[in-house]
Amino acid sequence: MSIIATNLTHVYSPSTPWTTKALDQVNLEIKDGEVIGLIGHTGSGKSTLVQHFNGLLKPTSGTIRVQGVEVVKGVNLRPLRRKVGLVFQYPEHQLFEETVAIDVAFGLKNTGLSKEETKQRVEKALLAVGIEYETYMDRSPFELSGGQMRRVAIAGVLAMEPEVLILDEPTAGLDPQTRKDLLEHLRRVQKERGITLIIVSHSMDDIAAMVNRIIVMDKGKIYAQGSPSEIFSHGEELRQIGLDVPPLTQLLLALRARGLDLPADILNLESARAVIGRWLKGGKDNV
Amino acid sequence: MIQLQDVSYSYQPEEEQVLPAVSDISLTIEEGEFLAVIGHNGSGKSTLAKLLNGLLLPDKGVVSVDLISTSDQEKYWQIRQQVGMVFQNPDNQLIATIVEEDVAFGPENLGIPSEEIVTRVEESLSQVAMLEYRHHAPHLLSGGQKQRIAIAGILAMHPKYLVLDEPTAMLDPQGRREVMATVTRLNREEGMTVVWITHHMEEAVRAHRVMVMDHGRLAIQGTPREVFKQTELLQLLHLDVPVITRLGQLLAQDGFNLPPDVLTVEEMVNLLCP
Repeated sequence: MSIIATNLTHVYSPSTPWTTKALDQVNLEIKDGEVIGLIGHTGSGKSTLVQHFNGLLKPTSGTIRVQGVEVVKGVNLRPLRRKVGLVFQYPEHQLFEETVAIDVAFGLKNTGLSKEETKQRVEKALLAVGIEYETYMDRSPFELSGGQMRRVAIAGVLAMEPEVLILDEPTAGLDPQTRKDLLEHLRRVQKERGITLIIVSHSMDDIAAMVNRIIVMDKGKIYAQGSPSEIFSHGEELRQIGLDVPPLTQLLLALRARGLDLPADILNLESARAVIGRWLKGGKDNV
Repeated sequence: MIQLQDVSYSYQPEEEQVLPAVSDISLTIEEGEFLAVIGHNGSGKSTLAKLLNGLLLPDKGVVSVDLISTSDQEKYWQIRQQVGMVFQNPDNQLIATIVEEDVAFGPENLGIPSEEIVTRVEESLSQVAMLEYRHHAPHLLSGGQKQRIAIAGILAMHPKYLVLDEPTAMLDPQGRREVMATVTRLNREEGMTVVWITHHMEEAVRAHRVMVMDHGRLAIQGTPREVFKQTELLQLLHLDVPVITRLGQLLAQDGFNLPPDVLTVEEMVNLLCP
């Protein structure tokens, strides 16, 4: 199973003066178990693209096949929506039930699960985002901190046990520690369940830390794709399309611009520490 | 000057076991200052922002703007005009269908004569480098452009103080750069007093002073260098130091001669490669 888009095109408000081509002939394959970072400036087509992944939008032309289901008019999309979980920006704004347990269980209504199975799913989903079931099940979601609310909202989608989990800006508005914790939990869930994880984000740091492959969108097209180190070594091009590279990559690129022979594909603190340390110790005289 | 003296605020004052959102804060914000406020989620940053212009009134203590208390009912509008607020989501702050009408909304409500409004709208749109978009529809602009229009709408009311509550949280990198550059310029070149609330340590680096909040209290304050040296304490407070600062500290641990308070990529490049 996988996600395959072929010449996928989406036009908003066709045949009106406001017509916009949000996706333009996108070809793409995402395999099971991949961790994908989707980046691009506002209006580049990221959200339009992911909304095709669970059938919220249908192609104007071209095709999109997700986990074996072709997204076209007239197809029953309910099975697809169970397989593909989409977490919107600020999902905590969508919490509404009286207790954490009931809120997380909401999506499981009408799935034919027994009470006991539902409870197990909820417990497992909350655990996956680091929220202890016994302590929080009867609390009102509105009494939780911002970070906890965000995690409860994500648990609501995890409880559906999707094969593909898509998160739009999962860390926006979170403090650094809460952000790290959330990403850590997501990484673990992805590994344990072997699911496909797609993260849409403006935070190049989060993307650098999390994903195997980055897809860069610009003007409704795929501008580039590759591993984080491949993508972020093109700092200047990314800036030109309104993006950025993480600060450590910026540093390495700037040092290279001064003629130092250092790798450009450094994404985490420990490797930056190692290569700069090595250069300071010995290599410096040779440069 | 904005002054807070022993200010506390609670959303549920009748429940004594609930901790106040802001607790015994004393603080002076000087004219022309760029103050960054950081703190974990729920530390009281946004509550503090709303206390600065009287959107919230303190339960205890006094907040005063140029020596006028925000609790003074008669000076209510004067204070709102002096202390402009910009919030996270630009879409919630724009109301008109044309950029210049949106910017004119604030001064119209202040009863400013229409010839002057025209001048003010032009001025404030130039201040955020958006004059050429005056006849555009706000909803068709990018996030960074919308946020700059929201800022222009505030500037048109001629405030002395600009309070921005996570103004870049919803923006892409380009938008973030635009808004940061706009506000930094307003501060440096026009002397606008700025209070900038953020979760991005890299943004706080540009401030004159950084204030760290924890559980409604003022935990640490100082220049960015003084504050970001304190890595362990910041991590205890659920925060972090800019990644470049951390890299400098790690290299210093490895025996290299680097200070613990390198803040930016440029500084680090110059230190490593003078």
